[in-house]
Amino acid sequence: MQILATPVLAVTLMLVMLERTLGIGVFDPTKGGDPVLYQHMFWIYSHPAVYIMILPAFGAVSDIIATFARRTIFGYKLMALSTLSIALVGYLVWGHHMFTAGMSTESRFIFSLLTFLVAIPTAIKVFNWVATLYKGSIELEVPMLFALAFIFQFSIGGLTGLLNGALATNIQIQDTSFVVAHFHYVMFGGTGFALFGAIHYWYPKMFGRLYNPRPSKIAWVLMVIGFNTLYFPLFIIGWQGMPRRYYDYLPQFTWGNQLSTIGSWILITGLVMMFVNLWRARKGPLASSNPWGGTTLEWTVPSPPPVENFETIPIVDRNPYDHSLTLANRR
Amino acid sequence: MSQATHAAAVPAHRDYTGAKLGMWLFLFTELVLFSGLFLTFTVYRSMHLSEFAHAAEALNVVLGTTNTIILLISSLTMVLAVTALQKGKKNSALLFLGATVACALGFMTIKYFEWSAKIGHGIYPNSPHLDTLPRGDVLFYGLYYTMTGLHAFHVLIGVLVLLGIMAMVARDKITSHDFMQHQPDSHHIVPYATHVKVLLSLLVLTVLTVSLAQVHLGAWNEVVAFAIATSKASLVLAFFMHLKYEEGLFRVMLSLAVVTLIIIFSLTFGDYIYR
Repeated sequence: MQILATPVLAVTLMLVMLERTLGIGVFDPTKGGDPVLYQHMFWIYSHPAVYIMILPAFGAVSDIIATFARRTIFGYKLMALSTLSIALVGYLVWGHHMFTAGMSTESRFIFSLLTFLVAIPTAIKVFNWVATLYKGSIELEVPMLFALAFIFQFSIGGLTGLLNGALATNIQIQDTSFVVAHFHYVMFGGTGFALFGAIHYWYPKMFGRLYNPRPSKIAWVLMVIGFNTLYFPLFIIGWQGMPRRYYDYLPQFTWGNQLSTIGSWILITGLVMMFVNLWRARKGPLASSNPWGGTTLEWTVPSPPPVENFETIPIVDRNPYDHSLTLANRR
Repeated sequence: MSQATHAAAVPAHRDYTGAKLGMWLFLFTELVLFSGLFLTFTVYRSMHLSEFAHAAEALNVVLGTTNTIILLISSLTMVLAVTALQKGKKNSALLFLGATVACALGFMTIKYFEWSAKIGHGIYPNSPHLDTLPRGDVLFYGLYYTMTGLHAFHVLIGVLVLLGIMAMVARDKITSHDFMQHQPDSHHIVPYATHVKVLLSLLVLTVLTVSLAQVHLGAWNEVVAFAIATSKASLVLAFFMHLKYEEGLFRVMLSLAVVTLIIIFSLTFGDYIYR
């Protein structure tokens, strides 16, 4: 996806560069160029780019949830298929960034329809994560807490995405802080939290050390409160008409902006606490090869993995998330 | 082959499939890169059909055709160099590589005269003369310089890479046993004759393109031009770029790149045709 999208951005930037230096006129309306074509080419790359960021996060969350619920991922095949279909359909929806930019009505209709289609595989994933938790032996370790916050925040981000993708509501919320809130709920509340969960999950594997879970849990509480205090008010005032990219605002938006600012302080406190804790963990107690009871292959090699991690190619005869042995040993 | 002789024949860890994969990935990104320009060109062409046609007629057909033929010949000499190297004929390989560089330089020289003539007529981006012409002409020449310029830049880089390869072949760094650095390829040796036949078909198709462009067939002109161009590209991919002899994986990758292009073009035009 990255390979098929990034060259479009490269050539677009080249055209902009030639436009600015030599005046070739391709995006200059006074010379017949069409700025909307620039928007097309920019978003042909930039929309797949957010899927490039979120898809690895989905993978990390699936691993974490399977491990800390001691269950195999519910609907494993559909999970894999939905990843593929998000990758494909995610390439077809760039126009939803340009609904008010002057595209043709028919084109807006097509892009809106395609945007709604992405919600299907995404919803499959969310429901399957929740179904995996059902009747699992859930352990609320730090990575799991981040994965759970991910599901909650990403769901809000995803559902508000449908409001952006619908043509009628889009006109109301285009270029307002509603879009800012939506984006951050997906990219920060979603990808960011999944990334923090993944760091806490694989930290013992990467560095062979254990971190102290207590500060990380407190940091998690601060981050969840801070994040939602920071971004949720932006949905409300955005819906009411607070434009994005403005440092000043009308009096009726004061409460939202102030609350949001307070949220940012809480969030940054949590972030600093989390990173300081991880930094201190470099001298923490040594980690075993499998501190979480994970079932995937990386937990069968020492922590940190040696250079030639597998002497012989491992034989895999079990489901990647088969926890039956772990659970049997516990009884 | 026993383990011991295998280890002797392959002294270091070599990942030919991985290297080939990397090369194809690079080529497909190039395809998508240029497609951004093709997209820009086709969008503006659809907006200014007559101006684009008129401006295109002002280009020098003889110089353009000559350069196309030079490029095609250089692709032949390049694959011949690979075959020569596979057969262990170092000197012929060097000769063919040299011929490829010569073709590239010839191409650049002709391009120099083409551009000079245009600039001499006052046609270059932001020129006072071009600004008096209709918008379609401004866009056409803006894209003309961008696309041919980016292509010439690629040719220049190609010359430098080829000179490097020639040095490595001359110092026996690339041999028939290990030509990975030269050209990721299976050990299938394609005979010279096949390549020459492919070149002849490409030349016939080129002549066909040029002559049919002089005949006015209406909308069919575009259909015919696209059909011929597609068959030429397929010939080059299949034979000169050895895709015919490669694993299925690379064909899957190619089809992914092509699907991407179809998506980009159809959805963008989904906007422009309804404007």
